[in-house]
Amino acid sequence: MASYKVLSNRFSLGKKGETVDSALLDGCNIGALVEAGHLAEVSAKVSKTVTSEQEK
Amino acid sequence: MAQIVLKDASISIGGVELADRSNSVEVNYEIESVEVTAFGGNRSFVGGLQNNTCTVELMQDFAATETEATIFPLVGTQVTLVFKPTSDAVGADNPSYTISGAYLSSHTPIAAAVGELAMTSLTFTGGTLVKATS
Repeated sequence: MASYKVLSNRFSLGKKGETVDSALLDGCNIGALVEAGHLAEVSAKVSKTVTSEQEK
Repeated sequence: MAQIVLKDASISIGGVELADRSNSVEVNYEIESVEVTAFGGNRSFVGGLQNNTCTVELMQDFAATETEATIFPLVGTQVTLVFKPTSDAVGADNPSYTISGAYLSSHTPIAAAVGELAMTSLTFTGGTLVKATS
C-alpha cells in the first residue's frame, strides 16, 4: 500500500505534513494530486541486512 | 428555518478545497423522467438515471497547488466533488452533497477580456450524488 505526504493546505483529506495511505484516497485522482503538488509519494525504506563474512 | 445567503460555501474538487478561489457554484441534482404512459391513461413518468450537473466558477491562479495546477490534470477524468452551504461541520442545517464519478470535459486556462479578472468556468457532468446530514 502506497503512502503519500500531504504538501499543501488545500488537501481536504489530510493536513499538511501528514502521511496518508492510498486507501484513504479512494476515489481521488492520485496522479493529478501528485502532479498538482498536493501530495508526494513516500518511498518505502528498504532495510538493509548486512551479513558479515564471519556469519556466513 | 432561516433563509441563507451563500457567503462561506465549501467546495472540494478531487479532494482539494478551492472555495477561496470561487465566487459561484451551482449543483443541479436531476433524475431523468422516463415516460410510462400507456393507452387509456394520462401522461405518467417514473424516475430514471441520475443526470447531475455542477458548475463552478474559479478565479485563475497559476501558482503551485492553486487553480491551474489542480484543475488542469483533471480534464478528461472523473472526480469526486463535495459541496456544502458553509464550511461548518456537516449537519441537518449544513448538508453535504458528494458527487462521485463527475466528469470534467473542459477547462479554460485563459479567459477574460482586458481589465477583467481571469476566471475558468468548470462544468462537471454525470456521477452519483449522495446527500448527507451527519
